[in-house]
Amino acid sequence: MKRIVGAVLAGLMTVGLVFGMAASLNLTSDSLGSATTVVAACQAGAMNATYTSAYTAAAPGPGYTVGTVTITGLAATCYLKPYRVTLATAAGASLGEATGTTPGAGTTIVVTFAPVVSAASVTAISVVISG
Amino acid sequence: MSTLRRILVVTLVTVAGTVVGAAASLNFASGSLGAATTATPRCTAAALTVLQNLTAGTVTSVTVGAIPVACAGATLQVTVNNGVANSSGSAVVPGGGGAVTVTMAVAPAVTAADQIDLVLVGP
Repeated sequence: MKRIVGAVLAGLMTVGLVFGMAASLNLTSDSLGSATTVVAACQAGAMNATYTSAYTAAAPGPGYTVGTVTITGLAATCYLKPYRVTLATAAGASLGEATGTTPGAGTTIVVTFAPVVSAASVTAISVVISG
Repeated sequence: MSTLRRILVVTLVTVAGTVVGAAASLNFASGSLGAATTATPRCTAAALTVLQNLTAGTVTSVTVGAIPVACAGATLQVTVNNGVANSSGSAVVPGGGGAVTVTMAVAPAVTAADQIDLVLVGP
């Protein structure tokens, strides 16, 4: 008797399962993963740029030009990271760019521009440090 | 099923659910990125006076006047170019501004069309 009842129950469960599956959809999905993180600067302390000018008879002269910009105030947290420095006009046009890697010691970045830039045209400087 | 088995089953199901949930997120980190732009200011936009000081047909020095006090402490660089050669000199603008005389390293011969360039660097 127990076997009969067991067999009946098993049969009903199977039927229920089949009917249950019949009601579902065939659905697949592409992968989707997301994350958010903060993009922070390597330092919050102020930096200051000073210019070294020299007379150049050839273009972009004759006149005074800037060939070296010295940036002070570098923090240790910005050591050995790629940088880009741009000298620009008041209208935002780039006069010259210099790239390199920040030093691994000290507080100063010495940036060399080649070719040199007309000193009279320089009215803005931009610095980006990444990595 | 004993109580211990039930606890194990519930625990396994919970852990499995956690793993499936974690698979939906990405392990993501970012490097630093800092950027800034600042103006390169001028200590003056006013007109300056420029006077060549001559000795025996050469420009021995140049006097730059009307320098405002805002330029105090700046380094004044001056170059005379006579079309054949050029010579430069520099001096620091005093605390009160005013006039600064810059002596040329080598006195170039004076011509009818000397070009004089100057720049104030700093402070």
